[in-house]
Amino acid sequence: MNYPIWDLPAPGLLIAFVAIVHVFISHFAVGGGLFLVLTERKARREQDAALLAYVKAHTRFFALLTLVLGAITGVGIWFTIGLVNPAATSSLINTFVWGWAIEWTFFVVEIAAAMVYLYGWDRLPASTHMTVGWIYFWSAWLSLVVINGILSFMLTPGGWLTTGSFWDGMLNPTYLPSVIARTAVAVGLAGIYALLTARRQPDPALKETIARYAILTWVAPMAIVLPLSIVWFVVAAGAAGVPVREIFGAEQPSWNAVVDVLVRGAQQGHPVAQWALRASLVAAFAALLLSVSVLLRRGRYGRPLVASLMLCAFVAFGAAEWMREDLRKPYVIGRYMFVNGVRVGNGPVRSAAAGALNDTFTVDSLNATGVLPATIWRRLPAESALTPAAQLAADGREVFRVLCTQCHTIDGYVAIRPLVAGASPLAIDATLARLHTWRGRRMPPFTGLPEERRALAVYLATVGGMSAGDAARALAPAESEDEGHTLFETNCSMCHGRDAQFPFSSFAPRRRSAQQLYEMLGRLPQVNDMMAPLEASEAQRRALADYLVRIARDGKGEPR
Amino acid sequence: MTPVLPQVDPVPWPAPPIVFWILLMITSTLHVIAMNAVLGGSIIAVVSRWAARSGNPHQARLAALIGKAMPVSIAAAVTFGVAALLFLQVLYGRAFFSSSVLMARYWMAVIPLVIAAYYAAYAIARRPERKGVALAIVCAVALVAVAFILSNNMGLMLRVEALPGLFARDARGVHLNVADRTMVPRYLHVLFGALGTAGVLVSVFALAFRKRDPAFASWMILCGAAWFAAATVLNFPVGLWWMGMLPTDTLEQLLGGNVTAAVLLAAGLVSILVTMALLAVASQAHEPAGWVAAAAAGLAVGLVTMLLTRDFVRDEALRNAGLTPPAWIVPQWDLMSLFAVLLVAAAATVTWMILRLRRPVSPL
Repeated sequence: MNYPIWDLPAPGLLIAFVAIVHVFISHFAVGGGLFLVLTERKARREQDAALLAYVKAHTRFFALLTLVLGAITGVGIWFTIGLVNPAATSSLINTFVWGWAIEWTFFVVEIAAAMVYLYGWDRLPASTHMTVGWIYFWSAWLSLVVINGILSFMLTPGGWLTTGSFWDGMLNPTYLPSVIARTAVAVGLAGIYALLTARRQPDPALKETIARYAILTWVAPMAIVLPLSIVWFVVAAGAAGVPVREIFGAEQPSWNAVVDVLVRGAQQGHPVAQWALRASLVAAFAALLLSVSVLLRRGRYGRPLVASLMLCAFVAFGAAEWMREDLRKPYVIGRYMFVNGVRVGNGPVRSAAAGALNDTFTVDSLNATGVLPATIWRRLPAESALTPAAQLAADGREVFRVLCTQCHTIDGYVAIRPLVAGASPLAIDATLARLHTWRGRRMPPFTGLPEERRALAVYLATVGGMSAGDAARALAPAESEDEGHTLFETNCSMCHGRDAQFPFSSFAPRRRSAQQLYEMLGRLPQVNDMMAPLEASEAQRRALADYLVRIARDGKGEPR
Repeated sequence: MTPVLPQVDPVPWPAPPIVFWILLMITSTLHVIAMNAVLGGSIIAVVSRWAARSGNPHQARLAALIGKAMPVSIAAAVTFGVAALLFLQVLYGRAFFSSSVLMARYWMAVIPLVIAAYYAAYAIARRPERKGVALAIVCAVALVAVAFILSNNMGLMLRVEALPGLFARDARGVHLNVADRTMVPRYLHVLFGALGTAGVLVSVFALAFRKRDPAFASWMILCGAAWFAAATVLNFPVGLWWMGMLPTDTLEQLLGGNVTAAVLLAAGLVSILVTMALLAVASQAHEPAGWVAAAAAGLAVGLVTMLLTRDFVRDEALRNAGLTPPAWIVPQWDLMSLFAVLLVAAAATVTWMILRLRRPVSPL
């Protein structure tokens, strides 16, 4: 939009891949630093030469993993977010550049301290070596503390939306629970990673000592603190306006309802967030069982057991991060910028600089001027080369690329084709018009001119299998069109068409009279809270009810 | 006129542009020094390892020394590079993000390439005396590739008027800056500059061996001077080639139209020539320390002035394309002060740690 869009299927997956690998190492970089210095102190106090030798060996593994893969994948996140969402990255940099600069000073100390700690094992007095260890840990943790502010800001920007203040953004409503959760993860991962290097120790007694120490002193605190801090985080997010209950598809505002949804599944809400939470909980439980298994097996744990534990921890942590990202949808910066780079049009920008800036990329601006004229990054074929219908579809494809490809692919991740297969352009167009409320899916509103929306509907209909010509004609209904049919197409067929997820025929329509259906159409949200109220006159409602009776009676099923 | 640049972000800048510019120049200079040491050093290490196969013990020892220093040098290059990237994104993000997206596939390749070079460097540093060349080649090739990609992006971001057209042709992130006449000389200038800087650093490190092994120290100074001289002799015509490919207006500015730019360019050229002369003297001197130190200072002046000249060229290109700082600035002085204090504290802490590490070995 304001920046070129990298033509990459599901770019969010690239961010997820880089970010999950990075956080799994970077949290170890924090907790592992604490583990090193505390374990070194324990070994020296207890004059345990074997444990000291283990810590020294663990340091090398720690440095090789965190200084190279951890640090460079951190740069990788920088690269990735700049490529996938430059608009959001630019806003974050303008807001938090001094936060990042401050974090960089901690990063410099962290990198230097890690190297001095590594090379200092044989060259520094014990007290100095441990001092360097402490310097490493505190700088690494302070680095986490700063970055956590920016990450949690993206979900709950809090007072920043009105004040534009750095501190309001940094110390946002989910900041504190998030710091505690991440610190708990860092501590727990330190214990899990310790098992990874301990498994190679030849001495079973030392292996048992390290296992007990790693699990009871490091993993166990995480197992207690992390769930509590996550609950606090979710409650804080809910209080800050994140519709947690709706995202998880719970019908009632209670924890029981959320748990019920997690066990039995939900027809509404955000399916990816629900899937991620389930995966995280299952993996975390498995990791806990495996940790207990390591304890029970005393010194007899090897690569399969530790690798399984690492894998479960990776899935648990990665899925939890994924869920956190999905809680933010449809925004990339909560209530400020949608994931496709469109700004809501509120916030400090509006209040402090009203009139000073002509922001082309707000919902209102784009609805007034159109999304394609607003962007300089267009890929439209020459008009003369195409028929009008093909041109419409080509415009629609470009609108799709600009507005939708941040999340959707055609056939892959969050695929669009299954959603529009067989759907009429009329139904698609009507769905686009109420995208932001459609089945609680947490979508950004469609932004652009009505003709751009129709072009998008035509393109999506072609993706669904229709020819461009048929799709363009279908969007201009004939005068003799049955009003009930048109209303059904426009309002119902996306979900209740013949090939849709909930076909009308599956609700035993023959048992209902036109009057009953007419009455139900007047209270759709009470019938099912996934359904939006029908915006139609009494006469239109009556026409739709008659149409429903007719297609039920004819037994032909309903069109889609 | 059709805009060629993305619009200004509506969130205000949190400091005056001059603050970001100064920080960009400082961090860029530190990054370029470390990057030159890494890139040039990796190539010298390959050549030295190769030459050592014919039995020259000095070459083998030099390769081992570079191998030991490489992980720390890469860490420094990355650490300073991250800061420079941050300030670059503030100042020139509208051009930089766009060019990065257009070459996204190559840009992302930087990450695995650096990881490969970094791990190769650690593997070499673990046993620096081993004779194999393969790991050194992996490290050098990865770094040469990284330099190529970065050089491409730094050039592509200046061609803002060409970016929408490139995007319309292909949006898959596959564009290198190959259509740009400055691309080849720019990249060669980077490579030869890195080799020259690494050569001077070899001469500087030689001073540490003056008492322990004077013969090796003399050889290192000569070797470093030779690398610098060879690279610089090649770099002068390459530099002229690059200048010749610049837009006429920019070239006229550099040749006297803009006094500051012309002085910077001249100072850079003179300081590089002086550095070469000082190294030549050092390589023949009985007491070379002062000459080598003076050469290093000359090179530092040359690097700074060349970076400022490059910044002038960049600023010209982007200003002509319409990239000017936003009017709305809300300085965060409290945070700037905190950053300054923490930066001093960080520098002091790092210095203290390094000094402690350099003390004589103590038993655990």
